[in-house]
Amino acid sequence: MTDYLDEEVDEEQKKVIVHHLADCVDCQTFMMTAKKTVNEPFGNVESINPDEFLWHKIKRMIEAEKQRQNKPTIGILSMIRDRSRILIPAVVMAVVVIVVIWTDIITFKQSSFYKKETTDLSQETFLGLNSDMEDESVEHALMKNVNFQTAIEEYFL
Amino acid sequence: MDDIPEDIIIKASKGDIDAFEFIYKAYSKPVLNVAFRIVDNMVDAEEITQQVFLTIYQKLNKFQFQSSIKTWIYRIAINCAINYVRRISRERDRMVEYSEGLYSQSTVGEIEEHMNREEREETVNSLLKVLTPDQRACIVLRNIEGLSYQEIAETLKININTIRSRLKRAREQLLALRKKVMNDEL
Repeated sequence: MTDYLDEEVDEEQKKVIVHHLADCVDCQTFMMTAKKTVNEPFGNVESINPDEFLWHKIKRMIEAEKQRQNKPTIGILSMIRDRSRILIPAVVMAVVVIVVIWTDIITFKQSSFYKKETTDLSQETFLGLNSDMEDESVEHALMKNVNFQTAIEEYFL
Repeated sequence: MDDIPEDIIIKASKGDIDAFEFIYKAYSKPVLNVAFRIVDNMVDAEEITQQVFLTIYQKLNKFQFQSSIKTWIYRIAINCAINYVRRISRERDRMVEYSEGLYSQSTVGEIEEHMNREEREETVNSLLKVLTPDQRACIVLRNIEGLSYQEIAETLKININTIRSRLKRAREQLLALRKKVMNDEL
């Protein structure tokens, strides 16, 4: 329907639609309603001519734009403004890099500290167990008067 | 409103104000009308027209002659108008004040003509109001500006089938509105 109303159908399709409309009363009614509602109101619209002042206003804006573009950039403010275009992204980038490196260092330190702590603890536990075992075996040997065949043993015994 | 000669566009892109005035004279009317139909307010439409021509002036040196200048200008106008509608959601009714001012100075014949025109305008505005800004753009370009589907597709930079479906949905909504109005009248 849309294509037919806008005459965007090819000759072949147009023939088929026209042929169908000739026989179908419902479609004829629908098409007439559609034309009346969808096409006709917009066809009667009057175009508005722009006022002369509008061009003068635009012309003034263009001239102001031209002046702004041609204005030489001098002074501290313009220097800061020009440099800030490069400096601001560079500073942001540097901050991001520092934060990333700092986070990495902290994470690495924490993980290595944890590793060291775990290793120390296991060594201590291991040594502690051994020393207990040693003490026990020495005590046991003394009680049972076992001869270890050492010089110090001879001295004490 | 045919396409503008290439040398005029090139001159205007280099800052030649007379060449730019030529472009303005050729396209200010359709730009203003498209903007008015989309924003439904003459003051805003004029503001959009200014914005459109300032944008054209600034971007003309980037125009690469791959599409027609006509569809390029329509695209800028449609984008500006749709953005404007989306940005400003509050209702304004300056046209009523304008109309009231006109009645006070007119003869009977003029008033009748004015009323007919007003009625037609009102019908069109009420029809356009039920549509989304995208659908409105399609209807305005097709039914008021008389662009082909291909030209609308180039203007809005979307597929021709999307144009078809937007127009179809818009018209279904307009028909539904008519049905509702008729039922209410009964």
